Amino acid sequence: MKREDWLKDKLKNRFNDFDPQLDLDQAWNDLERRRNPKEDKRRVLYWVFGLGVVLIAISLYWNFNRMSMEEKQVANQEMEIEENHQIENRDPKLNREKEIKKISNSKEIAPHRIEYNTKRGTDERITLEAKHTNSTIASLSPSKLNVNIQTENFSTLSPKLQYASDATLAGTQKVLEQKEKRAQITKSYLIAKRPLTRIKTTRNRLLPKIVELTQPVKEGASYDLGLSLGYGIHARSLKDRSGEQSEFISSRNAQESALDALAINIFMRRNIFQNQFIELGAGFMQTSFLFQDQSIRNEQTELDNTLTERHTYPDGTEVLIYGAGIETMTITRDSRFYQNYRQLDLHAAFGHKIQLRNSLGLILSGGMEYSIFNSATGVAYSEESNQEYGRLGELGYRTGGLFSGLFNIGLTKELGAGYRTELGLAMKRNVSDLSSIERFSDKRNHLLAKVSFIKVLN
Amino acid sequence: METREIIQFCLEGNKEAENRLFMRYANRVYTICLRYCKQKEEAKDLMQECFITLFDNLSKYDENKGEFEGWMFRVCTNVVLKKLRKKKHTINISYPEYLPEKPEEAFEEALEHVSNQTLLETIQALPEGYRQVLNLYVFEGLKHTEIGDCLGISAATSRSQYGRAKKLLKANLEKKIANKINNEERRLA
Repeated sequence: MKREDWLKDKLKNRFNDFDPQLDLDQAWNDLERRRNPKEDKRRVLYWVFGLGVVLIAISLYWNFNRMSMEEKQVANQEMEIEENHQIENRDPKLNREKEIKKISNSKEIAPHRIEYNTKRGTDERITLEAKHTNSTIASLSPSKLNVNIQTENFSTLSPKLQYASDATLAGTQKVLEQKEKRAQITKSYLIAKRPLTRIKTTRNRLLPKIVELTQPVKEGASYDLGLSLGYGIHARSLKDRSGEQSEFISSRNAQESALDALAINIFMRRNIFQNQFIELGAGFMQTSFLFQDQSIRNEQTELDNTLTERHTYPDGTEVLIYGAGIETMTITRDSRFYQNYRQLDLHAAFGHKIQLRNSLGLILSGGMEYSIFNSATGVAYSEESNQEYGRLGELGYRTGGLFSGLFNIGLTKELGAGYRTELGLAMKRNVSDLSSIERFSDKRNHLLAKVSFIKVLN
Repeated sequence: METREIIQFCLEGNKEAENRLFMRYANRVYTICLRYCKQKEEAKDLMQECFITLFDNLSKYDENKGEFEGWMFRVCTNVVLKKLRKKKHTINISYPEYLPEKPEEAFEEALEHVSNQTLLETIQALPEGYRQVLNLYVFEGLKHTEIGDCLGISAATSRSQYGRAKKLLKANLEKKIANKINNEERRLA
């Protein structure tokens, strides 16, 4: 046996039956999770999708609930308009019984009116009833009139019911003209003001006649003021410019923790054509992540004239060795960084709306974002001792001057009363470099689920 | 179940078979990884990479060319080496070379009584450069020229690193043996 191989011979087969005390089940589960990272991604998508569904459901419920009250109001309006008009243009002596029946029908609808008045706290219904009652009383025999309607509490008509009032005076023809004009304006509007089809369906099913809502619509361009909230993921692309291996591994790659990004934006949109708009906005975004810094090394060579070692041998003797020589030290730092990265952004985008249904649209927009301020805070820990050894803020992050490309896709839903909501996805990617160290190229990609609330300003 | 059958089921995508294969060899693969890594978590990570590579390349195994175990450990070693290449090699000459020469026969005998766990911990405690060369030379059976190619150093450097690693390992083991003897004596006293 060669003396130089004694270690090799002694050690080679030492670990063949070694039990490293590994939790095999846990290790298998970890391996499976790593082999199927899609499941984790899917889980995030499910959450985003679920959140979207819930938001849409809430907005639809709220919207339809609100509409049904308005439908009832409109139904009442129209019935009275028609009655008044007919009463004025017919011979009352021929159809008195029918008129009484109509008034009885009108009474049946009264609970809706009461509900409406209770909620809104106005006298609008009473006003209309009074007009109706006056004309009806004039044309019917008082002995057969069996309707108890208050004729007090008259008040001026609200602007909202001006159509109804006008129609009462001018007749059904005027209502129809107004309706036609309004339909034309509504068509030219970016997003329809009301889901008319649903009103019509309800009308056919429940009520004999109805007129459309009398919301005033202005022609011309409009502005939208919006607030959006976003939550999502971001991934980091960090490359070594020298062509060597990347020295940083993002936490997503290392399977350590979920990355997340939070964003809030305010924006103003100007409709420049029928379906196109430009958007300007400002926002704040924070991304948090954990990454490993596996091989930052520092080699130093120095003349060491105090090389001292103390050795204790099996026989108990201690040997202290002094010496001098050139010592090259290699420092390896296996460390973890936890970082919060914050940025203030300005963005400009061009967008296009596609009308899917009366109140539902698809929004596509793309543009650029410029971050006016960036800051990184966080803590770097030594992996071995778990001791903090540096604040990222002190490690020198460049501030400001980053450009990103952005793209948004989403659905927009009309809520009524000049409000809209949007639910969509926003994608961003840094165009300019984030790195503070010239050696690295550091770029980031963001994918956020976004919900926006928009007020239409005409 | 025979390893050959397990492999066949694995190739058909049977998860149960993959689990069996993992359970059968995980300890040994993990031990290999432990020898190269200071941290257990790092070793676990490396072990996962080994098994992912194994499962991905299982179809390339040809039973006519040799035993599965041999093929598997070669694949694992390649994964480890690839990782080492990524991490880049650093030369550690931090330990002085003035270690006194002691008779090796006594130490070799003492080595027989050192537990595997102690031996593993002592190897793990070696500086990274020493540890890599020692593992590649002793356990993987690579020659110094091959180690040089793997780690991007010269064969001469590999040889000298191995020599220093051996001395340091010996010195550290001797310390541990001495401590153990002292503890035993104190306990008996």
